[in-house]
Amino acid sequence: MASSLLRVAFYRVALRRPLHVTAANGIYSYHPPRVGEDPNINMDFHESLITPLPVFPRTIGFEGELKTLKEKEKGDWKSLSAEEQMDLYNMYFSMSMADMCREKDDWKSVLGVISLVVAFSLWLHYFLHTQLLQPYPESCTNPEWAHEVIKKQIQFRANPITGYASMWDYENNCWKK
Amino acid sequence: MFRSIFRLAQTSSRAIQVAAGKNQARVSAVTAPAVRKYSSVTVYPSDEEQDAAWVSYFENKDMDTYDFILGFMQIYREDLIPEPKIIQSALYACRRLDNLPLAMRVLEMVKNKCGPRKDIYDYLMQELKPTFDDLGLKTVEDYGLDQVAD
Repeated sequence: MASSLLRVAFYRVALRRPLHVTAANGIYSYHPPRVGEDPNINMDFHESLITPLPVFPRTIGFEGELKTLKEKEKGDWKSLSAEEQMDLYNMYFSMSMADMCREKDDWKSVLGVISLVVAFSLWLHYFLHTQLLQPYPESCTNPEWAHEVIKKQIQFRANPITGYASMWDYENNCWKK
Repeated sequence: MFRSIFRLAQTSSRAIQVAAGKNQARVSAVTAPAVRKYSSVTVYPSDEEQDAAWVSYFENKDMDTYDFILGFMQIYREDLIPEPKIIQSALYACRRLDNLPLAMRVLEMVKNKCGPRKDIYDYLMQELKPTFDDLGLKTVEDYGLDQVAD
């Protein structure tokens, strides 16, 4: 009963903890309680696969039955039941090493956010081009305009070495074969 | 000359166990360096010397939790699985520090170190069984710590 409560407690405390609090300090970090902080919770607690041994436990102060359990730890460990041993473990750490190794599904969240951003940008494009912006000028949209431009380039003999004028056969008035 | 250097290397590779009180010289975490380089000869402490150095490191009575963590993390970072006697002395050090979760974590780390080698892990558990019975510990599977909590 106590162990399941502690498991629930650790999810509330440990996994919601903002990362910037622990990243600023090193792995061997512990700070005495700052003003306004709960002195029973170690806010600099950090454990990972790379640093599985924290210097200070997750909970520092105990009341009531947890305190008696801590006193019992000083005695023979054979007198502790399996549940009490797991209670002590959950008081000290926030997750087991198997929890650290478990697969995460963060990629789903990332994919979802990317889809949202892409969808928003597509909608923005549609909205701008249909409601707010002027239509494209005729020189971009009309294919006949492009034909006239090329005809003019051939008449002016523009780019006679690499351009359209170089590909036009002036004697026969047709494209070069 | 070489002989004297060898003797110096051997005495240095033994763990510096003297810790004259907590406020004075700390137990050194750098116990058995991987190599000792001198101008004339490079000395590698052998495996047995390193094992003995680690065992005597953990048997130090003046050890702190911090010393334990420094030492054991050095073992954990190396690309090897520690000998049963090193793990045994580490567990007894946890007992001396009155820290049961630390002992459980040590066992988890050892299991993590073994990786896919179940035969080495079974051998370690078999060698450590008397230690478990003496201290009242159980294997990681018995605790259920290898299962992912939901």
